[in-house]
Amino acid sequence: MSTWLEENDLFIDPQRCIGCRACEAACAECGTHRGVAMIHLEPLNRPDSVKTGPTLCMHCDDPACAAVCPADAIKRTDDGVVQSSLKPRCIGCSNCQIACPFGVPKIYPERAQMNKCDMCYDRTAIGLKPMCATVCPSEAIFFGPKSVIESQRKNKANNHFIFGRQTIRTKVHLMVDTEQKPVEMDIVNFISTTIEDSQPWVI
Amino acid sequence: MLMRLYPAGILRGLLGVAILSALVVLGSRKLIYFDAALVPYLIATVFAVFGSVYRYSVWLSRPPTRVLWQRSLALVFNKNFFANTALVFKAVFENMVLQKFIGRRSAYRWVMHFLLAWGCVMGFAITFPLVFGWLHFAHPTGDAYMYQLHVFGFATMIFDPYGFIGYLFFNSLNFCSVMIIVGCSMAFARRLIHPGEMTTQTFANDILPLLILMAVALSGLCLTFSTHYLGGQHYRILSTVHCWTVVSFLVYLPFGKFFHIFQRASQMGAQLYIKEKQEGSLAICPKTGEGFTSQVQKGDVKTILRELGFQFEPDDQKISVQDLSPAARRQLLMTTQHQRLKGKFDISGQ
Repeated sequence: MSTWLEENDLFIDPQRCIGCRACEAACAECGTHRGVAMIHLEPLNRPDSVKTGPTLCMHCDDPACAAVCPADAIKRTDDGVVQSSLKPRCIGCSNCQIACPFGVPKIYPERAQMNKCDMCYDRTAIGLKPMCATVCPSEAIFFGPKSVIESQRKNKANNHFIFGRQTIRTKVHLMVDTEQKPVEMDIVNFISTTIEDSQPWVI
Repeated sequence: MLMRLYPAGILRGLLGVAILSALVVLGSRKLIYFDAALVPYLIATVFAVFGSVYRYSVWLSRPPTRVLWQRSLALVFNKNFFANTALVFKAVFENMVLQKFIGRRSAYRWVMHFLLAWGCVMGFAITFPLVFGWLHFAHPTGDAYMYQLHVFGFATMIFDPYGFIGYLFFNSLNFCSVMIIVGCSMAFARRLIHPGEMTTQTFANDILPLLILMAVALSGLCLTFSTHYLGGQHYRILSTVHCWTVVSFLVYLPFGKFFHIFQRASQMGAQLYIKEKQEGSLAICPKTGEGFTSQVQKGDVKTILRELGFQFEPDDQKISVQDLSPAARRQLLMTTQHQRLKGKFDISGQ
């Protein structure tokens, strides 16, 4: 029998983000990291654009953060959620932050601990939506069955990403133009251009 | 499924057992002062030593753990040896003795953990020397009232068993028990009401160790209660129960949550990484210009990822996502989506 977390996925669509920061405020209410938001809500290129976007843990099938953890403090649950660091084990070394291809983990050196999005496991484990997806007014963050978002949007949900020669499969989907082939992260092009060099801001 | 064993770990575990056995024989003066009534404790301790050394060996064989320890040693043994050694001692004092980092996580958790940790450590410091025959008490020659402490078979201080020193000696484990009971009660309370802990905790990892500690402390206090208030009634069965609770603790030690006592030592390596980031050469993000970590640590993480089969470097090996700062990586995802959608709201072109 499939679980709530196996039947539902998280989808992010930064193009829809309006920068209201409701997701940040809601994230800080999560029981597993009370008072501190784990989501990153950032402007893309503030001098030239109003564009913002949320980054939350993509919950990789084979998480690099867990692989490089010297304290073996990061665990992935059977239903695909990569948990925040185990408190008794985490030493706050930052290896996970350096390894994560999506720039997700937050390090708190003074308390020797890493925290990150755990998809509100205190909620999703009992059949509730994550906080951020519950409050996002533009549904830039959406939680539900893939069939529902596919029926509502023209963009396609893709959860395969290529970094260099590495393909990463994630539980969280990015809404892009195709689901047929993995989303290639072109780092060299990214470094050499700004967003306005390649595409004008259109909405 | 067959369990895969780690032969080097078995050998090191056996070496640990051999060293412990030799120390017991030497310290108890060829077992003259070894108390045979404590044999179950000794057997369980031998098992705990084997299991802990074995698991530590397996743990050290993991690439990230191995690299951290190798890098820690390299960072200590360089031209700044004395400053680095001082940093390690300071880190040990602050993190292991005072446990300040837990205080920064939460004051409640600091009190709870401090009581549990030091209750256990002091209990170990008293129990193990007694079990190994390194310490024992006897009457001094020609005096049937006073007590004398013998260390490794050598007679040392003489004290009044009903005086202040005697009170401290014979009640020290009771003090430890009280510390552990208070700490365990605080931990149980937290595990019953904290929504985050309630979601992620498991019986084997989080509840069982507290039950074992509580059982050890309560059964130990029962022995004192029997002595002082029951005239020694039920002492035999109570001492057997206490013995089995301690044996359970020692058997659980290498495989459960208590193993973090040994793992925590690697936090000193994290402190050295932080110092390297502050004083060494920084890794600069080619996108944001931000110095986000040290060159040394970035190189170590890339080495670990390669060893584990990750291929983040493109074919030309020039740059990988790990060369970008975390903030730039987050921009990369947004930028990629923006470009894939050609800057539009969605693929319909609107």
